[in-house]
Amino acid sequence: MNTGFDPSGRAFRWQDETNNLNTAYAVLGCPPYVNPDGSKDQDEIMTWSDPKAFRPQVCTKQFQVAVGDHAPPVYTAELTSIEILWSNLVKAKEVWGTASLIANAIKAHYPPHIDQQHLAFAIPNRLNEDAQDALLRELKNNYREVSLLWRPVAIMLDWLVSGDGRCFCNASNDNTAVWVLDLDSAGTEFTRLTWRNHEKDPNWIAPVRACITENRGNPRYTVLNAAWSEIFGEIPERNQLLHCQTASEVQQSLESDLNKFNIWVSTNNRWKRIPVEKHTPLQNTWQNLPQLLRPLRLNTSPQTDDVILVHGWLACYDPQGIKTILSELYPGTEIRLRKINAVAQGSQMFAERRCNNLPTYYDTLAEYKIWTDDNWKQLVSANQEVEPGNPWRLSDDNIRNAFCINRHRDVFSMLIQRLPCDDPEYDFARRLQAGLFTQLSDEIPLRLEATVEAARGNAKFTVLAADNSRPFVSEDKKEIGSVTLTYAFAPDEEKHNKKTATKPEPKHKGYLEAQPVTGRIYDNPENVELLKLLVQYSNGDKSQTSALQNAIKRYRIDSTPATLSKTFPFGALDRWGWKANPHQPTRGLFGTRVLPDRKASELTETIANHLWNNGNIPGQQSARNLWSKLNNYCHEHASQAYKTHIRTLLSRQQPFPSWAEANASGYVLGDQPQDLELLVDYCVKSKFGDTQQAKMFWWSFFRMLCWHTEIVVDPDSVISYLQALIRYLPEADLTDSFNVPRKNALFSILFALHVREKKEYKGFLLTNEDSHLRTQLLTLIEFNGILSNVKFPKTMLANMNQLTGNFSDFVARFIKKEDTVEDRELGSSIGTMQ
Amino acid sequence: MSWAFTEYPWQVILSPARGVTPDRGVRPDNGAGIWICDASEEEVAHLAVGLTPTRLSDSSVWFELPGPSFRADGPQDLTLRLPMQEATTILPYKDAQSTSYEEWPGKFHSMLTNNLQELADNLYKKRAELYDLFLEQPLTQQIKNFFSSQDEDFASRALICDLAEDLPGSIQELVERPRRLLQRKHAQVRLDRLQEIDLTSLIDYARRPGHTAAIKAGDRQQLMAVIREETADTLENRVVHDFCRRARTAAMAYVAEECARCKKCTGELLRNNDETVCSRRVRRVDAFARRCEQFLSSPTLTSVTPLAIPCRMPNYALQQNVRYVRVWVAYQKLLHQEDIRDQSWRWKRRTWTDHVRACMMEVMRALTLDEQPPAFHASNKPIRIRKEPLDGCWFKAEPFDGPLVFEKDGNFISLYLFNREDVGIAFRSLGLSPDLMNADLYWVVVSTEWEETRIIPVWTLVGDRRWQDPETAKKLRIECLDGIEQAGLEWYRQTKDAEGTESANIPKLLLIRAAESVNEVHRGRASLFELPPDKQQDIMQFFQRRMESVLKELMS
Repeated sequence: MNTGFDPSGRAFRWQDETNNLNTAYAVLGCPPYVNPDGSKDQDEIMTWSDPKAFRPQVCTKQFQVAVGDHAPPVYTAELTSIEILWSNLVKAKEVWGTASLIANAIKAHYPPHIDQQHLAFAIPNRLNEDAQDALLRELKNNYREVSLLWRPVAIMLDWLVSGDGRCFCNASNDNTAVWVLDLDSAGTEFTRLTWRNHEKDPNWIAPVRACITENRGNPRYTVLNAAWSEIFGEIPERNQLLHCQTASEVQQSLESDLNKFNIWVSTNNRWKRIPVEKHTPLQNTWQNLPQLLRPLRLNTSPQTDDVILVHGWLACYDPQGIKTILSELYPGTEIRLRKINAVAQGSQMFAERRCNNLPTYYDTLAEYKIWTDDNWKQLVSANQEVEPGNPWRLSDDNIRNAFCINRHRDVFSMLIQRLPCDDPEYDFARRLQAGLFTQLSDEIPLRLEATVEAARGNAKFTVLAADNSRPFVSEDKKEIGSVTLTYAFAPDEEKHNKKTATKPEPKHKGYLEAQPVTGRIYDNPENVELLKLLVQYSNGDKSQTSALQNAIKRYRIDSTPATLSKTFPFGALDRWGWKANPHQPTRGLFGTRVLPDRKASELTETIANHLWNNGNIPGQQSARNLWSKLNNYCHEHASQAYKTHIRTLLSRQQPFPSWAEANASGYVLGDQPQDLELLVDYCVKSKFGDTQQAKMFWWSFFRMLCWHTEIVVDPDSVISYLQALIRYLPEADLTDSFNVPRKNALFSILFALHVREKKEYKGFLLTNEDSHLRTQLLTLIEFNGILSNVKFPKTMLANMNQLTGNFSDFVARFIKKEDTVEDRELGSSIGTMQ
Repeated sequence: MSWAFTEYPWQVILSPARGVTPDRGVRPDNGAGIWICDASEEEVAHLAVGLTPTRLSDSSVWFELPGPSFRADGPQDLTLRLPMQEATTILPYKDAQSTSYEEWPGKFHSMLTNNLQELADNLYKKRAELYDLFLEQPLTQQIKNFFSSQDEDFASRALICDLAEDLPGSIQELVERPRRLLQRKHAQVRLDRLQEIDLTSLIDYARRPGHTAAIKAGDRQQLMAVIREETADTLENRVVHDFCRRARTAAMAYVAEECARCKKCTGELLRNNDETVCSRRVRRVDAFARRCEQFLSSPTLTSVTPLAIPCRMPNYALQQNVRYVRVWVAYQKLLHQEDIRDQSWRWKRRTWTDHVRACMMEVMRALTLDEQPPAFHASNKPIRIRKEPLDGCWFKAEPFDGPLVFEKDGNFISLYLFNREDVGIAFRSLGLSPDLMNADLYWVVVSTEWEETRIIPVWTLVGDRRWQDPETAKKLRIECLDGIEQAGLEWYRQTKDAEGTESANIPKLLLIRAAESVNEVHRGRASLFELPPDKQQDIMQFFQRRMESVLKELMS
C-alpha cells in the first residue's frame, strides 16, 4: 500500500490509498534507562509508542529552559519530542543520531508491514543534504521503498489534484506563481513554486520547485509560542503543554471541533485541571506574521494574481485571521487554506505515482562549478531541472577528461563550487581530496563522473584512473582505481584519518600556502643515471664523459649546446623549465622535498660533498660565485657544512662575499624552523647588506617561506622585516631590465602574509593595529608607488592563459584580503617559478 | 568526614558517627550498611569491591552490605577499606546472624526469586517470540497480568517448570540414540582376529617370553592389539548426564518447597501420583524428577563419566547438533539460575523490596477514592525490568506510574509512589529531602488545597535468624517500630528547622517484612506488616485492604 507521511509538525500524520488519515498527536518519547554509573542498558531504546512514558531522571537543563519555571516533576527531556528533533535536524545538529531517533519514532507508530509498497515522507525545504541522506538511510532500515518529498510540493500536489488547483493553473499565465505558506514545517516556510506541463505527460501539471540553498527560515517556536500565549494566555504553566505528557491530548483538543476542553497542568508537583475555551482569535500571532516572514529574506514576494496556499493547524484554528492578514499583506492574491492532511495526502499521491512510474514534479538542482586549469567551468547550470529520483549526470567530455594526477603528488584534489554560497568567507568552494597510494613518477590521466540528485543527498564525484592504473588508496590501505568524493553539506576536514576529505575554500584567504618542490632526480631512473655519471665525473673518472654529455642533453631539453658546454657538467643541476615549455614547471635536479630513495640520496650526498669540498678558489670572485651557485643547486640536499657556512654568514651581519651566497639562504636554508628568524635578523640589522645584494635577500625571504613548510613564522619578525623593507626601498637600486628587484620585493611582501595561516594571526595587516603598516605597503604597491605596475612574471603563464591586471595589484589584493580563488590557483605554481 | 555502621536502613537519619562496632557483627538481612558523610567520591570509591553507593544527599552516601552466599565456595567475609582507616576492615560472615538457606526463609527465597523471574520473563519471552529485542510493554498491564495469573495452580512458576514441560522428549531421544564415537583402545585379541598393532602393543609383544608369535600368545593365543570400540562417553553426553543430575536436584527441591506450602497434600501423596491432591505444575515437575532418575540409570548415561565441574565451554556438537542444542541451552539456564538465586540470596532485602514494589503498584492500580477512579493518570510507563538481578535489584530505577490525580470536591489530590532516588529529585526544588530517611519507597500526596506535603516512608525488611524465635521477634518488632518512628521524627525536626522548605507531614510510617504468615503490628504512627512473598489472592487482599486504608487516610 502506498502511503504518504507528514512527520514534522505537532502531529505525525499518514494517509494511505484508502484515504484514511491516521494521526499521532505531539509524538513524544521516553529516553532509555541510564544506570547510576552512566552506562546504558543494551536492551533499551527510546520508547516512542506511549506519549505518557516519562521519568524524572531525564530532566535536562535545556528542558527547564524550554518550559520555564513551571516544569512538572514528571516530564520529558528536550530530545524526547519528535517536533524538536525535526528542528534539530534542520539546524544540522548531530544529524545521524537525530535521524535515527526520528526513524524510530516513525517506526513505533507505523511498524513495517508486508503490504507496504512505496512510502513518501515530506521534509522541510531547509533540510540539508546530509540530513536527507541520514534520514533516508535510517528509514530504509525499516521500510523497503522510501522517498523524500518537499513539503511545499506535497501541498501543491494535493491542491493540483483538487479541481481548484487544476482550474487555476489552466486559467493562469506563465508568470503566475503558487506560494506555499507552511506553518507546520520545522520553521515557518514560505516557498514560491511554478508549474509546467510535464514532458512525458502533457496532461499532467507538474510543480516546479526552484533550488533553495540558503539556510533561511525562522524558528518554529516564534509562531508557536505566540499562538500558545494567545490560546492559553491565562495559564502561567502553559509551556508545560508543549512537550509534556499532556501535549498530545492538548494538541488533539486544539485540532478537534470542541469549543471547550480541559487541560492538566502541574505546579510544585500538584496537578490540577483547567477548563479552556477554544474560540480565541490569534490576533497578535497574525499581526506579527510580517515580522515572522522577514527572516525568510525573500527576493520576490507574491504578486497580484498569484495564489497563496496556507497549511498548518494554526491556520485551521483561526482561518479568518490568517486570510485577513495575508490579504492585507499581499493584496490581489488569492488565498487558499489547505486541509490539515494536505501534506500527507500530497505525499500519498506522490508515492502512488512513483510506484506506477508516473510523472510527479520537477526539482531544480543547485548550480555547481568546477575549477579546470585556469577558470571555473559550469558543471550543473543554475536552472537544471530534474525529476525526483532521476539524477543528473555529467556528459561534457571536456570536463570529464580535464583532470590528471601530476607527478610527485601524494593527494589528488579538485575544487568544486556550489552556488549560491551561504558563507563565502568560510565556504566559498570546496576542495575535494583523495589520498594516493604512492607518489607517482608519471602523470595519470583521470576520468570524472558526476551525479547530482535532488532531494536525495549530496553531489557525488567519481574519479577513475583512465589507464587502468590504481593510484588511489582505500580505507583499508589498498590500491584502488577509482574514488568517490562527495560534496557534503558539511565539510569533513576534521577527519584526518579519512582517505578522502572535503575542505572548505574561503572566497578570500589572504595568503598563499607553502609549496615544497620535488627535484627531477625522482622523476625517472634516467635522471638517477645522470647523477651517477656526474658523480663518476666528479671523482675524476673521465671515461664516461661523452655518455654524461648525452645524458645532460637528453635531460636539459631547454638548453642549447653552447649553454651546456659553458656550464658542463654541473650546470646540469640548475633549475629549468619554463623556457622549454610554459606548462613545464621550473625545477632542478634537486628540490626542497626529500623522498625515500636510497640510491638517489647516496649519490646526492656524494655530489653535495664534492661541490662543498671543491671549486672554492679563494680570491677569485667569479669562481666563488660559481662554487656557491653549484652548492645552491643542491637545495635541501646541500651539505651540512655549506648550510652552516651560510648561517654563519647571516649571523655576522656583514655583506656576503658573493651574490650567489647572498641567494643561498633562499635555496638551501629553511629545514630548521629558526632559519627565517636568522635571515630577518640579518636583513633588519644590516639593512639588507650590500645595495646590490638586497634583491637577493628579498628573494631568499620569499623562497624560504614558499619552499618550506617547517618554517615558523613569527609575526613580530615579519613586521620588523616589512618595516625594514619599507624604509629601504626608496633608497634601493631597483634598476633592472626585467624588473627583478621589484618582483622580488613584491614576492617577499606576498609571502610575508603567510603569517595569516595561523588562526590567531589571521587578521595580520587587517586590524587597526596594523593599519599604518598596511597603508605604507599599499602606498608602495598601488597607484604610483615604487612597486606599482609590475608585470606578472612570465612563468605564471603555466597556470593562467589570459593574464589580467598586474603583479602589483595581485599582491595588493592579498594584502587587503581581497584575493580570489583564481588568484590563489595562479599563485599555486610559484614554487616552481624562476 | 564521618562514618558509621547502621544495622537498619532508617538509622542513617539518626546518624551521629558511632565508629566501628565489630562485636555486633553484620546482619545484612536487616539492611545493614555503612553511612558516610562529607566524603569525596574518590574516598568512597574504593570502599569495597562490588558495592554500589546510594547517594542520600549531596554530602552523605550509604552502602548496603551484601549477606553471605549459600554456596560453599562463596565469599566468607567482607573486606572494607573504610575512610580514615589505614588497614582494611574484615567483617567475617560467620559472625552474622544470617538465616540458613536450608531453613524456611531459604524456601521462601526460591518463591520470591521465581516470582520476580516470572515478572521479568513476561517481557523477555514476548520479545523472543516476536523477534523484537526492543519491545516495550506497559508497566500497569504487566503488574496486572502478574497478579492475575495465579490460575488454579498455587505453585509458583519457575525455570524447572518450563524445563519439565519442554525437555523430557529431547532427553529421551538422546538417551536412546546418543551420539557415539569409535574409541581406539588396547586389548588382548586372539591371534586370528588381530588386525592392528601399534608401538605399545609391540613393546608388550617384545616383553613376552618366547621366540614366535604363537609362543608369545600363550595358552589363550592372545596378544595386545589396537581395537576400535563404540562409546557414548563424549562431552555432549556428559553434559546431558550433568543436566539430568542438576535438573533432578532442582526438581526435587521445587517439589519439596511447593508441597510444604500446600495445605492439602504431602510429599508422600504426591509420590503416589494422586491427581486430586496436588497442583498440575508440581506433578509435572515431580514426574520430570523421576524421569531424570530413569535417564541417569539408563545404560547410556551410566556409561558416561560424570563431570566434576560444570561444563562452560561447549563443543561443536553442543552448539550445532540440533538434538543437543536444546539441552545445552537448558543446561546453561540451569547453571545460571544458581547464580541468580545466590545473588538474590546475598541481596535478599533488595529482592524483597522489588516484590513489595510490585505489590504496591498493584494496590495503586486498583485504587479509588470515594469509589471514584482517578480523574487523571499523569503518566504510563513501560516496564523496566532486568532479565536477571543486578546486585539484587530486578527493577530498574523509577518503575512507577503516576501520579494518580483524584478529584474530591474541587480539590485535586496527586498521589505519587517514589523510590529513594526519585523522591529526592522530585522534591529538591521545594527544599524537601525525604530521601534522607533512606526509606525504600515513599507514598507522597499533595493537593491543590493543602499547603503541606504528606509523606509515608516505607521500609522493607527480611529479618535475620533472631526473628525466627517468636519471643525475640516480638521484641524486635517493637524495637523496629520505635526506630522508624524516631527516624521520622528526626527527619521532621530537621525539615521544620530548615528555612525555605515546604511544610511536610508524616502521618504514617510503614515497615513491611517478609514472614511466614500474615501479621500486623501498630505502634504510634508506625505500622509493621508481615506477609509471605506470595501472590496468592488472600495475601494480596490483606495487603491491598491495609494499604488502601492507609492511602485513603493519607488523602482525606
